[in-house]
Amino acid sequence: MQSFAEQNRSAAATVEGEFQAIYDDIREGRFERGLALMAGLSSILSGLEVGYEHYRAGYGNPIMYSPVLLSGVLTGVGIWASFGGKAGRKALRITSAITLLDSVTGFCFHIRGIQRKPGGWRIPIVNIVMGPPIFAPLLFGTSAYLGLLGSYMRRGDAPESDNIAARQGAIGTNWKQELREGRFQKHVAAVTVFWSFFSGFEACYSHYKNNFKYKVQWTPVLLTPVLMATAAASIPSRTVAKKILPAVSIVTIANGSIGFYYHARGIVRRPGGLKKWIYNVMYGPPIFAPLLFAACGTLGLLASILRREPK
Amino acid sequence: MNGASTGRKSLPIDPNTHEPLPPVRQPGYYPGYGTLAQQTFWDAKTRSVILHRVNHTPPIRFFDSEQAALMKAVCDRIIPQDDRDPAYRIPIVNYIDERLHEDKIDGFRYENMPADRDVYRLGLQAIDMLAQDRGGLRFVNLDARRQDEVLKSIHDGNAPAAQEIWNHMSIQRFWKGLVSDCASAYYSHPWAWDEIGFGGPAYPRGYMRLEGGEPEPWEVDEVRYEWQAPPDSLSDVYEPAGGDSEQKGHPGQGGTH
Repeated sequence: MQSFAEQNRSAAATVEGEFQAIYDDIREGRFERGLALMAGLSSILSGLEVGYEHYRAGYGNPIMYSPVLLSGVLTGVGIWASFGGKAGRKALRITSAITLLDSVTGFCFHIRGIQRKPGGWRIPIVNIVMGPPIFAPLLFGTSAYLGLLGSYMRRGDAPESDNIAARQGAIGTNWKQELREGRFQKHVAAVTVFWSFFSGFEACYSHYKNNFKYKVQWTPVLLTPVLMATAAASIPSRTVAKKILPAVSIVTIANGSIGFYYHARGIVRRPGGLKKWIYNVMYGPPIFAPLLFAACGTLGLLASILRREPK
Repeated sequence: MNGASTGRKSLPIDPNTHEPLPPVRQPGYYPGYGTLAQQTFWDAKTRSVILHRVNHTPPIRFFDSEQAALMKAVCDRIIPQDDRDPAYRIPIVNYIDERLHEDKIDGFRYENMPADRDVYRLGLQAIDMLAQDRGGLRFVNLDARRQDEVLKSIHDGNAPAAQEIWNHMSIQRFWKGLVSDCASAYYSHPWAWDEIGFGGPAYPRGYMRLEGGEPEPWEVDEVRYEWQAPPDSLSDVYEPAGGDSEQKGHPGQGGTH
């Protein structure tokens, strides 16, 4: 019989082993199912966000329905692909590509929307603050981006030999093979630089709109350049990617989570509170926006775990 | 002529030192605030209308010189501008004169009121008759206190003279029209907007901090200071209008600001 201490030890070892296994899988590019599920579930949030924001804008242009519909499809397909089937994987790749295209299209429409406001770019600050959120469509593409990555990774049970063969073959030139093997740290680090800029910019002008009434509203604005710099330094430096990027990313995730709490509290504290929750969600602080900021931290964390592209 | 032109000043008083507050370029609680600084964010038409208002004072064409002097004295008591630097006083009489000269009217007329031009001709006659009755002088030659008393008798609707004029013209409606013309002229001017911290034209810039009373980036914080109405003014005199239930007026709220 095992002693209590031994049981504990073995349990701890099991948990540690589990984490190590997940970590290894991610490094090896064997988490395509996990990534597909993440893409599907995060798509629910971005779908809700774009749904109420476009509802608020009255669906004045029929194309405003497209992200709402696509996020629903992406959710379904992401969950389907998380079962590991070939068809689901293919569908995830196509849906993600279309959604990314839609998010770029939306970005153009939002720029046009700002331009079309009275005064246009002659009054940039007010029109960026009051017009359609300029980078929101690109942030909407985050789930699709994760889905696209997931669709290119190898299956969790793909044979190791496949890996060896690839090393001897087209490695370094074939991005598909690199994606398959989880060798795209620099790529995700670069994406983190841009995404955190988009999200931080949104936080900056939205909080400026509120005159930085609460000191804590400065935190995402100040954290953004730190995350951007760290992620950018991770591209040339493996050390930064391994040692500093995970810490900054975790701080970003924590900051986004705290922001989510404050935004939710801000909504509850509005006149009418939860009794008029639809109205207050629409006109209160954007409920899911801090989670998008946290998603940038998740991207950074992902980058820090992944293997680097071969030289 | 009354006010600065004859050297008589009716200045608000600092309640701590009991000294008159000197005239300033921009009275009010918003030092450093200027609506005109926002002009790049207006559209071209708005900008030209407002700048014309500032840079171009309409000439006196409707009133003759005596009437104009009398109107000036009256307007100086309805909206005193002694607290303003003479270069930054708002030409209320000129704007009213322009309205009457161009015969810009409301588009309707009360049955107990003559046409607007006649209202002013008759009204000014009546004011001088009331001045004669009270002090034996023309209105422009009365001291500020007496002038206020004359105007207050019209405000109260119990003027002791000029009955034949009031028979043709409702005294209450005359007073309301006169005060509203003065206020319209005064508060159409960007300098008055600066005084009260009003944002001025909002198109196409608009407002972005719509909740929680947060100031727009271009607004300035209110800096209040204590002041009392000039001693020769009736504006701080407390008279309960609605019996015992009436709230007492707030001191310092009855003056020019």
